[in-house]
Amino acid sequence: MNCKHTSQFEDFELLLALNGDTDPITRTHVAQCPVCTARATHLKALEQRATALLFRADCPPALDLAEYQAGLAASDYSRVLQSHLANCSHCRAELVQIEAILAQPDPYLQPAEPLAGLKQQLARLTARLTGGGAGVPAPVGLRGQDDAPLIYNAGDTDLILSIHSDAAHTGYRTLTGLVLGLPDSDTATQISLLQQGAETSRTTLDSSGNFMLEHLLPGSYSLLLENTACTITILDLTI
Amino acid sequence: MSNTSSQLNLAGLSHRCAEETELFFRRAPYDPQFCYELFRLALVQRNQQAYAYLYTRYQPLVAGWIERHPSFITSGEETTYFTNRAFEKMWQAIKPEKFARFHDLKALLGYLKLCTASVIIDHARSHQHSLVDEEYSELTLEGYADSRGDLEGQTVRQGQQAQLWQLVSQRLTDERERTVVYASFVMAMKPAEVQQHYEHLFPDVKTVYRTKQAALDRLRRDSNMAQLYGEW
Repeated sequence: MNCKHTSQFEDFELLLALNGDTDPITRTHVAQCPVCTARATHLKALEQRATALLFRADCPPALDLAEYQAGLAASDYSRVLQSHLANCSHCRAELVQIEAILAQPDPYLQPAEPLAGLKQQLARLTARLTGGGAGVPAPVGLRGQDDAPLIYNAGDTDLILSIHSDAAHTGYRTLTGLVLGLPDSDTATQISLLQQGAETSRTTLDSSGNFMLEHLLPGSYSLLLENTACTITILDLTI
Repeated sequence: MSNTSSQLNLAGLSHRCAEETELFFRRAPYDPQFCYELFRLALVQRNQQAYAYLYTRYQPLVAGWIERHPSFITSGEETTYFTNRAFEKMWQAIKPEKFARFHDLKALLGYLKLCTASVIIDHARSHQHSLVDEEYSELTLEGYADSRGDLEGQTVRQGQQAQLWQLVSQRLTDERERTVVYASFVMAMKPAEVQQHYEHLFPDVKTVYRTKQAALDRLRRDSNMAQLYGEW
């Protein structure tokens, strides 16, 4: 059966109706007429196919975006990329992701040079596990503790660490610590957790000597405490 | 007296690279020349054994970057998949003539990190493409490489798409047609989004539909396009 309305509807009108972007009368007709519905559906499929063929056809390779973000792209190509980025929300979103990964703290890349000069004069201590529990205050704010505190000693400094499950994130753990007897320093003490040489987490010791590192995957880590007066390392800390 | 990098064989270089890396992580003075030389042998001389040593040495570092990326957990892939892609990408991107741009180990590792970031983006793009492909009922797109899975397939598909877009854009007559085809098919925007984004070209949604169909009609009538890519 042929639709008596077919000649009245152009292709774009059928698609308008199929997508619900037209008046109710046309929409109802196209929905109820098998000829119009079939034609509209075919046109829609062709549009989807065109999208599949062309989707992000002029986007630069991801590595080009990464080079651009790192300032490694040639200046003329950078202008091409800037122009593309102005129009492409997909690439702009990817650039944000690239920026995030490049901004991750990374001991291999920062600092550029090995610690030398003045820093070599500083106290470098490797903390030893000396036991647990009795008479030692627990880190503040400790909740849902899984294991007894671990007590480390390095020179005059004691470190009391507790590891417990992260209640909000299944499978993750939280490390809390209290540092006592740390030598005076001009700067805040940075606490870094490293795994296989790469920094995974970082925080700053508060004025009471407490710190907390959250969202940690279970595994073997090294903990590094560092300020201008000393560097203390705990090797093989299992979290 | 310690050997310099040029005096050592590959195994010796690898050993010294490992030793110096350990020193680095103990925050002791270290010498980066041995690891840098391994990179030079791998990337300039295309030495597979040097490449294998580098992979062994830096695989944990790359794995750390990957596992800390927020998209990793939802990617459905193993760390090794991304690690291998990152090294492959560096191997392909740094040709011998390009190596001179990297003056030290830090620069090379920084570039390895760029490669790592880009393979995670590649994976997300591949997923985006598969979602778009799924909307089209016939999953096999004539003449197109399967972009899912490997770097080569993705590169081939990118090239094919760029070529097609060039052909299509040459056949569009004015700014409105070019804009509507670009926004609808290259950017996958809905008609209402196109109208809102390019209000100066399209006073209403109906104009978006009409302009798009006029452009597609022209592509349908083009025998070259039909021969290469079927019905539009």
